[in-house]
Amino acid sequence: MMVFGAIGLALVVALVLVLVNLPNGGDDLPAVVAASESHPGVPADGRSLGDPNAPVVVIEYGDYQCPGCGQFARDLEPRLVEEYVATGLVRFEFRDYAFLDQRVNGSESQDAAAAAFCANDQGAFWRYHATLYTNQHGENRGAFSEDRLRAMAAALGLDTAQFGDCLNDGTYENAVAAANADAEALNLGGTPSFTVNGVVIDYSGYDSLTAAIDAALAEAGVSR
Amino acid sequence: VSRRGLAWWQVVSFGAALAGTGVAAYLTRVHFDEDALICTVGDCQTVQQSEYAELWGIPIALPGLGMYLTILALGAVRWWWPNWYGQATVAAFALALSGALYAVYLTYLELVIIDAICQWCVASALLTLVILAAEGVGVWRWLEPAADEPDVTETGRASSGDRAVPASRVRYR
Repeated sequence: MMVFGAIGLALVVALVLVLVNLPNGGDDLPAVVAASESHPGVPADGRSLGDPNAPVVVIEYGDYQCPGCGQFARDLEPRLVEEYVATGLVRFEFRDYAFLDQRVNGSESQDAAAAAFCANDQGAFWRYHATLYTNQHGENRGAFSEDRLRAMAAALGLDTAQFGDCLNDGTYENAVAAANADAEALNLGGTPSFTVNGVVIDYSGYDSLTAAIDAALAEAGVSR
Repeated sequence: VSRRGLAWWQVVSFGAALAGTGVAAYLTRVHFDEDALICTVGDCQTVQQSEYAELWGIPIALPGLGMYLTILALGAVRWWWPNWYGQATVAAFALALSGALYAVYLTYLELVIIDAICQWCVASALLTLVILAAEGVGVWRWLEPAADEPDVTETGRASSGDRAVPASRVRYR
């Protein structure tokens, strides 16, 4: 009797745990918010930040739905920019590897990437990039629906008509597909992934990235 | 009631719970210190940073750590206090059953929803299944006493019949 009671209790506990951690349907998304100016004073050229002639080039391959990329953008990218980009040591570039929507036949990763291209047309890539990550809420649950992508553009004060046309016309669909193909050709293990002076590094956190940058700087004969 | 050596399934359960404690403690640590993450297979970072990596705002590895430690404690209880052998074994089995079912669900999330696999999470799930199997053997033996195992009485002697306490309460093999 005790055994059956224990088994029943175990089943109930497991069920409760599963119910608490169910994939969310996306009907409780908070309102869109605009990110603050992400890197004030740092020269930006489209998707690149920093001195175009910097001795080290760091390229991030990311998906706007990827939580690790969000964490990097919110917590580590500002540190990287402050320590390496603003000091002229590194040029930092973001490239798309929008793949997290493919397994569900969705389009949120690719739509978000295309929307960032559209924002770039208005000189607002990095603000929109930061805003996407600020409004990241799970994966494939509507956080990057077209309405919300437009709302993000509006929150940043972009020309919403131009932005809407850019999205609706699929202006950058091919560009996103090409970026994905380039990322896949690099055999990246996931996102975020980084190359330092063209070499894919084994990224496992901020220290692993800065170690690779420091090594590249030493190779270039530049001291911090 | 006296104690005696551990049965093979108790050793298996104890070893798996000890290993699980290490894995869960490590996963709890890397939740707060990403640089400590070592991942040779899969994409641990994506899994660790997914929305499913927390339960009520706490790292999901923390309840797992609690489960392993409780199973270790229950193993100690049935060794030190044989009168509680049956209850401790059933409790450990029930705990492992909950943990295993939830681990199966988390593995489903990794494979289907998150689309990334974490070697440490898989290791933890397998260890939970090992504990479940071992404790299942324990419960089975408690319910179905084996003929080849001597009974243990309050004096610790092996006896063939005169049980000073109910056999179901003192068998621990």
